[in-house]
Amino acid sequence: MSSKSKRGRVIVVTSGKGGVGKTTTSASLATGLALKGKKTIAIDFDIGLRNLDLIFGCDNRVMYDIIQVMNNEVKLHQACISLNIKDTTGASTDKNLFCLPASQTSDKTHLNVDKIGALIEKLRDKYDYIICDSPAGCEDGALMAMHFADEAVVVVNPEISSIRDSDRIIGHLDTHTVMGKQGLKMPQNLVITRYNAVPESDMISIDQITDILRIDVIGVIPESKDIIASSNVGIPAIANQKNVVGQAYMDVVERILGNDLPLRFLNANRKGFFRKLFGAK
Amino acid sequence: MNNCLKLKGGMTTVVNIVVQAKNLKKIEEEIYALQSKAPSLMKGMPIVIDFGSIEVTSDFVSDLISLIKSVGSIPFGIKGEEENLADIARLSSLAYLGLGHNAIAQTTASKNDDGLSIYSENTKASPTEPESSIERAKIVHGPIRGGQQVYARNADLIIMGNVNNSAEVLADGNVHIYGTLKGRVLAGLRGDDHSKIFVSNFDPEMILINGDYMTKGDISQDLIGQSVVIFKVDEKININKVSS
Repeated sequence: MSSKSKRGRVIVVTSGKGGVGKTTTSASLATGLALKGKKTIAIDFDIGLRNLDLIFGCDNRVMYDIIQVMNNEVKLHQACISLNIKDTTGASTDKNLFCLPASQTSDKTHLNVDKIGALIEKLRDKYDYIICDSPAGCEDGALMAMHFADEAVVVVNPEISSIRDSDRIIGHLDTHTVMGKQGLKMPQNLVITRYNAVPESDMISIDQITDILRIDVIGVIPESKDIIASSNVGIPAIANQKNVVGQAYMDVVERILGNDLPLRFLNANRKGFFRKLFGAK
Repeated sequence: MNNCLKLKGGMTTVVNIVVQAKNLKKIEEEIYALQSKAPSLMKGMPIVIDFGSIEVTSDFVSDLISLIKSVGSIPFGIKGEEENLADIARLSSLAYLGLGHNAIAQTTASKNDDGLSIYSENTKASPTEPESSIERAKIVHGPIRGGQQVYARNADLIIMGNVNNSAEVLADGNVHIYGTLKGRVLAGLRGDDHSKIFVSNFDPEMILINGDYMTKGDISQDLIGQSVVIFKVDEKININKVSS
């Protein structure tokens, strides 16, 4: 570890199930960390599909991809897209935010664990945070995204199939990663997205989720039509600090940076009920 | 990740031929007797020869192997306490499987006066796990997550924490779960009807004791969420609430 180079922290954003908000979460966390002055790169591991660049609004600037970098066909800096995103408070990611897109032409079997390991090592020297956006499922792409992680953010919806899939993925985090194989316990945190998406009576409560998954919650993101709107215009949801979604994601960023904040936006109407739940803990 | 091969531990039931006396003539008679009784059983049967504490020579072992092969069985491994047995195994291109039945727990061997006896056991192909004569309970901290499997070989299993949906916990002895059981639990795997299952919060996918099982649909609703003990009487699974 030289004094010149950084030792970036690798965070995998994973879930098992698709459509729960991994990419939305990856983009917002990366943007938020950059807004806080941390040099951050978000990597899209969803080889063959490629979504992260769309959420960042840089799809028309994609020239090269992670597979080409991995194979040393292009230089790292050629493939990394610099992003300048401003939030509603006037803060800017100012040369701190980058995106390494996935390939649309290759498939995930092209990922090579040794080459990805070498790439991640290189990125650790250049960035404070490396956010790995995992594809859905628990196969090669997802296993590769988590393989070198120092920390995991597990995205889950308050819905049984999402919870079951996350349970399996957490099992993989414990066994199929460098840390797991060394017998180390990877820090794992839960971000519950699309909260309130279903009528209250059907929704699985936060304590039911944590009772099954047994990892700490670092964020509850309310369901909001603003998320779709921000995806469509290519600005990560966190940039809108006037909206509860943006504020909830910023809280997650603060918690990743080590600031202990109480959970909010759990339920506007029944705050007392949830206070009771979390007050006890 | 792109390898053609993958090493996996596994369990296979094999027949152990336990040699109880070094009398090749008598063994030959007994093997032919077994063959005439059950010819199809012997044919192609994978066999482990267990010498226990008997002292053997390489000549005796190779004679016995030829004899077993002559009735169509396939000897693939030997075990016993004899010092040179590992070398003898290597010379005969067989696997050396450790100390044999005297050193490990006495299993259900039906012994004759002399000669040999046959019993079945599950061998676990694990290169790292040494054979131990102390059968301490295996203690595992949960949660055991979906898709994960925990097995206590030749011992009791204690889970501190939850067993989640589609997780599986197995033991040759009793299983204790201090947490919520939502997955599958299997006790008495190697033929022990007396093994029991203890669960502090009961909501399982399946429970099994030595071959007899119940699935979620078979279980009375008023037992769900209770602390229970599960045991077997006359091949029937019983679930009792634990009164506190």
